Amino acid sequence: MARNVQIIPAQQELKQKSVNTKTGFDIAMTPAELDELEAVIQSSRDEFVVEAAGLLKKLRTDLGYARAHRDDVASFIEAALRAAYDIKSLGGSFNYPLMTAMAKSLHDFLTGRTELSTKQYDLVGLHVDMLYLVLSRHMDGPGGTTEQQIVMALREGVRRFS
Amino acid sequence: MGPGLSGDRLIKQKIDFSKVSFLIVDDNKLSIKMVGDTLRYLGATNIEVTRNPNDAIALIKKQNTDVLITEWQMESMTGVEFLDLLRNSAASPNRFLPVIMLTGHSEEPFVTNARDTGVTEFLAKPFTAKGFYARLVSVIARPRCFVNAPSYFGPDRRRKTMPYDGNERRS
Repeated sequence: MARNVQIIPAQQELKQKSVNTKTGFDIAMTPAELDELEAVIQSSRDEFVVEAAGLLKKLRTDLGYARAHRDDVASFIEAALRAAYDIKSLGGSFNYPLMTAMAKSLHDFLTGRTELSTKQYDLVGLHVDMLYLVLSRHMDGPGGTTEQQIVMALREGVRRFS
Repeated sequence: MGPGLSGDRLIKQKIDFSKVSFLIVDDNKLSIKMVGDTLRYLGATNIEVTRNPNDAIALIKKQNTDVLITEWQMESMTGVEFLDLLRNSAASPNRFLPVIMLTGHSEEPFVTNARDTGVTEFLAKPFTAKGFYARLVSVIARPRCFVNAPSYFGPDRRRKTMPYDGNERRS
């Protein structure tokens, strides 16, 4: 045995009290059962749309203010990071992978930043506009060539203005 | 005869989620709802929720939590700092608590950091019911050995059994 390493046997109490052969859900769910479970998550889809719309509306308002006044940019960036994080975290669960990709691009761009130049404000605004577009037009799924090109263009913008 | 087999017939193993107590630590209310709804559908009745990892410690003590589901991105303390506290602090109410890190920080350094801090399972957001259920099954029905080493305390990070006969082989 390697020196100073202790292997502690797996704790069995939780398994012993909950795993059985009579009650509960099969450990190996069938595809139909998984579909029913997925439907539980999808029941929150409308709430996601409302929440994302609210986040984007606030982001757009805050962006206009921050761009005009150029004070407390760090607070704007912090709030924008959180909004981008929440959208990227949840979008794909509701078949909005484009929103997840765009929000991730925005999150990556803002991470570690404390100030923004005029062009960088424009890039943030472009992300917000595209996210709005996807949400307002209910563009779910991965999208076609045009949608993918938009995501790539945002990423290119991040690379160029970082 | 392997576990779950009786003669030629396969006996299906089930999880009775009503016997399992859960704690969700997250500061996004929609995420909390998605996880909570899923657990309730599965039959869980003992589900506590907090937005603050500092409050979670008291809740774990109070309800004797069986499974912790935590975000990484939180205001008062990150999920991995919380995990570190749980695994390595003398104040930890249960150093062996199964922890599922359910987070939008899906990039490789985050996964590695969580693993090396002692996470039991990691699931990236956006998540699906299938992925979430697989993590639940793993932490409840397939408990892992723990490793107590000078630089690490947590579930065994090795997922595969590989033959090894070197001098440092664990007995």
